[in-house]
Amino acid sequence: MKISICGSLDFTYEIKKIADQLKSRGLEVTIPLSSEKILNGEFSLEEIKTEKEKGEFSKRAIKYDSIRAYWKIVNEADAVLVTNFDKKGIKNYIGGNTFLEMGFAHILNKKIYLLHEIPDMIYSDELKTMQPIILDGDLTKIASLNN
Amino acid sequence: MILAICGSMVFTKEMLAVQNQLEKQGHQVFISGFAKGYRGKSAEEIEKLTIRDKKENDAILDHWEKIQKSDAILVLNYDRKGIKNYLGGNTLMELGFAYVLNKKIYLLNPVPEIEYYQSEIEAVRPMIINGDLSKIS
Repeated sequence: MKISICGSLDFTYEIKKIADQLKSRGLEVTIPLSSEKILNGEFSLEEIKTEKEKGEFSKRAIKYDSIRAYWKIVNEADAVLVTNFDKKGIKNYIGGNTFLEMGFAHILNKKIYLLHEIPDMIYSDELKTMQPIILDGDLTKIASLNN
Repeated sequence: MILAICGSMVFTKEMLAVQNQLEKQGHQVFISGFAKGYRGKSAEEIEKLTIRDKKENDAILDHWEKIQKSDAILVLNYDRKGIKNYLGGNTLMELGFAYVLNKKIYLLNPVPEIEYYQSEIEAVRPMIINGDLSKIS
């Protein structure tokens, strides 16, 4: 099974841990492109946070064409796993970019796993419509790890 | 040009009016297949119906197919829920669909200030027409 992990870049280090766990169980895993660059030392999480605070993050998304890049990744995956940890005082936060990736997975008929419950946010109704599989933090609930 | 109109279905009345105007300008225009059933309903009634249609009738898929057949989308982002130029989750998804399908993206009004996804709206590089439908070409 090929799984694409999505989530806020703030969770890069948690995403890395989850990716390693899943890889050790035989899954093929991709992580967010910018998370990879952070882990490779190409830029820092602090730089990203500063860009977001200044409202300049869209420039980076345009430069790397990250929305289309993610469309391609989700196309090639069997499932997406959304790492929705708490952020900005919101329980199980899902940001706009991750929401878009979930939308791509939905329209492409891919399985959508949510690490935690659906958050209470502006697009909760849309998130429910996508009928994600809630893992309650338990990665062994991912279908192919049950076999 | 073939256009798909996107936006909150609470604005069904406005959507039908814009469709009419664009058709007079010679465009072919798609709106949500559910719009006719929402005509004349209150905002509260429409909200309930849209939740039902998203779940039971796959309204997301309906509009995805319309966007595929279009050259561009036009987003009707009127003020709503106390937010200037509001653009909701469903419409955000449609912006993403249009973008990955390389369709032109028109916004009727400027990009709203919505903390969680303002940068994603900016990243799809919409053309802001400031209410002027004649700018669609």
